[in-house]
Amino acid sequence: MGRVLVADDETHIVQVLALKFRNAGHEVFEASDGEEALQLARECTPDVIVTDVQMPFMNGIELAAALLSDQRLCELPVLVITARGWSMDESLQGLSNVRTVLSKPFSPREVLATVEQLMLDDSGRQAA
Amino acid sequence: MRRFEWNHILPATVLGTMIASAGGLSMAIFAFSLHGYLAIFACSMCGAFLIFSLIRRSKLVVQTSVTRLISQSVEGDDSCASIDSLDPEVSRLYEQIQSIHARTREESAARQMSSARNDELFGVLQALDDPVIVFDSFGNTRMSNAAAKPLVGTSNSIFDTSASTVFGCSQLHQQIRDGLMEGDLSGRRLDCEVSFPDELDSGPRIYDARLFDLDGAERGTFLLVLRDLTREREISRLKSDFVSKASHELRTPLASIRAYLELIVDDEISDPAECREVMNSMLSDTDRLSSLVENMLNISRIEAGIMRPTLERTDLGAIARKVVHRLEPGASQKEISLSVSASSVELTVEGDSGMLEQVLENLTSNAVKYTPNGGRVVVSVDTDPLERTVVVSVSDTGLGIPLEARERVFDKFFRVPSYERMAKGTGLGLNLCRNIVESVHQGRIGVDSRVGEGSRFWFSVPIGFAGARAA
Repeated sequence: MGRVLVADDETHIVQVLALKFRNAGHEVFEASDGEEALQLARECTPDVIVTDVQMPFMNGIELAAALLSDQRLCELPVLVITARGWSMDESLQGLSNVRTVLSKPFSPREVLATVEQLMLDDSGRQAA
Repeated sequence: MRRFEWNHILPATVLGTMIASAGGLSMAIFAFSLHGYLAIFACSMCGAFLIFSLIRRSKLVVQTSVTRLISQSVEGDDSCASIDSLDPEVSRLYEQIQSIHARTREESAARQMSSARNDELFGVLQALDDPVIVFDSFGNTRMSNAAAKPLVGTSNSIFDTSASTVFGCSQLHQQIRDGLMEGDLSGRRLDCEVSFPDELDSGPRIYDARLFDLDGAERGTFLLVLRDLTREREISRLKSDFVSKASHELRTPLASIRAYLELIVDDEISDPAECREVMNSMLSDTDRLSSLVENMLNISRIEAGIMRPTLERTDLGAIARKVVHRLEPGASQKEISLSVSASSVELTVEGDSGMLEQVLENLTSNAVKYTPNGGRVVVSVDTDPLERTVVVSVSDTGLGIPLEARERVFDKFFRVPSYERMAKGTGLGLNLCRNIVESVHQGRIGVDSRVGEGSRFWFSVPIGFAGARAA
């Protein structure tokens, strides 16, 4: 089972995702903004980070960039969930750690499946 | 009118001669006598005077006739009753004069009409908001309207590519050159947008350029019309921005409702307490969605001018007490002291009580929401005798709002970053307040704040305002 960090300033989104991941047997860390998420990531070294984009203090894009520039966390896969209705390709350019982008409203099943796939890919890469 | 005839001169001359002859006869009788000489002299003088008088009179008659005819002709009086009775020579002369005058009048009328038309066209050209420039095939500017002045400055050539003219835009410059080379410019749309800094230096303006051939290739006069797209683009950007933000705000509560429902459908929530919590979360998300939609609709109605306020005498002191009473339970949960301080004078205005209550509720609930536990919120209502308004203020001991955020706090979907952690909001409540106060009630709204000490949101509504209207 893996360790998932969920970052969103919407408490209900954090609550519902945490419930889904815990029910699937994963350990969950919760953050309500980018800064808190970065600090938790450094402390807990999760397997995957699921983050919103629009958050106070440090948004999801800035969080991904900060993770990428951290030698210990640069390989950490990031899943972005956004309520933005437009393409994020430009904002995510160069952020190789952002593996998948999902839109709100989302299916918790799909998020769980994506997160578990990312964990598998990551463990496969580490084994290789 | 005294008739004039040329043949009067002949009989006068004959008569004069006859008198002179009579004089000659007398001279014969009194020949060689002094009396004879004197008689001859007197008769000759009489004859000469008679001839002179007749000729002079005839000349005067001609002069008077012609002068009168000319003046009648100049004055446009063609009803010369005596024209047929004129001497043929004078009549011909009269007709010629009349013809010249008729032609002169026509030419003068045509000139006046042309000048009036030119003035009209020039006026129309000057009134146009779009810059218009007329130039010849050598690029010399022949005419430009007022809107074009900032674009062409003092330059009189469209090939003046200095940065102070619109033709400094190389794309426009090149396309005009290409167009002139290729010919047939009629209605040619230049595929370029010109960015040109405006006079107030408030950023570049965007123009769409069109080129027209005014008179074919013979004389080579061209018309360049630039359409200012800056405002159109700005409106489009604001609209797109609003839709994006509204969509973002709608998607968020929708996302949690959808996700919770999926968990329920998948039987992942079995614990009754957890189930109740999830249901409450969904309920609050649903309320947030309805509030968002309602606020958006109200703002749109006010902005579109279709909101019809119900005018009545509204006691803002009573409304403040009602709102505080309603919000007290929520404030108590956070141990916030919530109170009203209403002046004893009459606090009545002419306005829509429902809308003004909504403003007070939004401001007070915001203060409670964003004030940390144990704080204080005071709603004050008083009059401003100088301004003749009732002023309502909501003061809190909250976080305070930084200056840069204070300027945008009434904008649509703007949320103070440091506040987002404390509570959720639609980002439209304060914008709706501003619309209700300023657009519907012709009042004023504002905020004073110190970071770390708290904020004071206030609004004022004119006391005697009886013209509340839809914005």
